[in-house]
Amino acid sequence: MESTNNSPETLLPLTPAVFNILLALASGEKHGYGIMQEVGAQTGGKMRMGPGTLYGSIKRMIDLGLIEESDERPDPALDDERRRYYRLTGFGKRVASAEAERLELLVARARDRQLLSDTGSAHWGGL
Amino acid sequence: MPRNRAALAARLSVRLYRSMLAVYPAGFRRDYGQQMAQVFRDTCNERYAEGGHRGLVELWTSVLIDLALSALRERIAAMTSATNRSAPILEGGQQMNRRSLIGPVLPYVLSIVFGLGISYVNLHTDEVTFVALPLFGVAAVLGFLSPRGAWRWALLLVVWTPLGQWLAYLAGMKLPYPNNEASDILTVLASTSIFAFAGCYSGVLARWLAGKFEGGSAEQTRQ
Repeated sequence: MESTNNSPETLLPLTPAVFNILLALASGEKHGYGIMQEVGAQTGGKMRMGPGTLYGSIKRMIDLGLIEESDERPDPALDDERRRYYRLTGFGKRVASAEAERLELLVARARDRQLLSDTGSAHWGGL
Repeated sequence: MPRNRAALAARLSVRLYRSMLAVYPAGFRRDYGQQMAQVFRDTCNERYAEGGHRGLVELWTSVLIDLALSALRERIAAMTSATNRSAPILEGGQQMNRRSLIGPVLPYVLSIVFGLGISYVNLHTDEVTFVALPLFGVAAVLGFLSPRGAWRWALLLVVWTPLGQWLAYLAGMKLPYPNNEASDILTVLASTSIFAFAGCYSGVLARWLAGKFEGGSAEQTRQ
């Protein structure tokens, strides 16, 4: 259900949970636990979503056309149980890019006002 | 032995978590319930591997908060969606008597808040009355105010007391009464269930009687 008629900017700013899920899926489709692990890794352990928040966000993102269900298959790294995978839609990629550009602009402003060093923040080990 | 305890702790945790998914709207539960339980189980295994029982206690703390907040959010979203679809108007005295007097969301919030409070009291007193009476009283009020599906309020009130006691057992917390065996926690679960369900359905009965009384008075007035 891709919202091709909507401009990505209409959805900005994204909540941290939504943006981090989009970022996690940008590297490839994942199941719920995989998304949770990736979000934890990309935020240096600072953002840990519970199952309720994760799937509430996934539901809303599907409704908005940002992500879609892929298929169900086991994850060989875990166990034999089938898991539902999710992936970004084209619209989701555009929204994620628009949000990243918005944040990049804010970071540039923060750097101009000397709130950030020129080497950038090392708190999260870099994004 | 440690692996058996880990497997048992994870299995019990997942079973309890699955039962608590009842707080979510039916549609959300149907679409995502199984996946949520799956993710919870994977996280249980991960946290136990990292931090043992303490890891599990920390997980439960964050998951309970996540459960309360996200369930509230989904209930509100479902309610908004139903309102927008123009839900049929209830008519008739009998249906009016079963309608919640405090809206659809507040009973869930009150059940969780009071349930947590009673659980806290239970960990700090050995007086059964201090737990049983508030549990019965709150359950009765909720059953009266929101009689439809009153078993939900009883369930949400009950779950926190044995859960808190079980977490205390895992963390090795010293309580003012014996809490060394699984049977102690099962006894708490059984006794709190009795008081909560008895309270809830006492409230439901009181509401029904009140409705009958109102209907009888109205009949007399018309005559």
